[in-house]
Amino acid sequence: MRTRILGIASGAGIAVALYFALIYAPTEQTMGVLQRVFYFHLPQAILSYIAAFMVGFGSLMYLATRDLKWDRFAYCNAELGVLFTATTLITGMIWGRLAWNTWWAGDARTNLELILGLLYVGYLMLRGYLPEREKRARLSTVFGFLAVLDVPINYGAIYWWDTQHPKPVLGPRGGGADPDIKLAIYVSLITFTIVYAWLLTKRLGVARIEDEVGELEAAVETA
Amino acid sequence: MNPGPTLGLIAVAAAYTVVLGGLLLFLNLMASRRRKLEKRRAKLLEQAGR
Repeated sequence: MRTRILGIASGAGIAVALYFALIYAPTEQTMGVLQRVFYFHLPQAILSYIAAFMVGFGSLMYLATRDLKWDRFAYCNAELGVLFTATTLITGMIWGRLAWNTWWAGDARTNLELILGLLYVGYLMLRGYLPEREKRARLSTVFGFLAVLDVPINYGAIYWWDTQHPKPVLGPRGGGADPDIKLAIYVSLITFTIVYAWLLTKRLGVARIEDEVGELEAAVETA
Repeated sequence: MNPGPTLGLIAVAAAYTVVLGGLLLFLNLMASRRRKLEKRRAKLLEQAGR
């Protein structure tokens, strides 16, 4: 039921976000139409960070309680982390090709986002090589914590190093933007947060069946 | 910096397609995995019941 509500909210939210991004928001003066990439790029990037915190939280809770439901929570978020990091990087590359005349600027922000994606992939690959359920859960927490460490460095990269990546327009250190542009950003951000929650509930449902099948396989083998 | 409206629009369409396509791909993979697992679970339950 909860998954269905989130699914309906996600579909409606995407329609509204598309309206705000393509019609409601005014065309930005410097970048022109290309700036509209930003309405989808920014939420993907923020959610790729949130995925890292969720993986870290799940890992920490697993180590504290040894309850496998937290491990499931962590690795489902890691899979979403791969998806959102990939979409962040690809949308950023499309923007960069036209704005900077290069697919990959290789600055600190983009490189650290790539590292974040590779940490998620490493986390999932490590799990693939460890057949024992508890050992898999325990050892993969290391990659979960590394992903958490990447996020503040990634966020601070544009302040600490000389990067081409634009400075933020939202928040206390933001450069400011037209109120309609800001509203379109918030609508998109809320929409993709709902989408994230929907995908997570769907993935967790599949993960529960995976564990059930694993237990049944072990029971059938020993019988 | 400003590639003009045509190229800009192509870039926006490409970026939005990547995001929404990624979303659909993920959903599709989940649905297919779920179907396979449910089949396997039913088979295992049958084996365990024997």
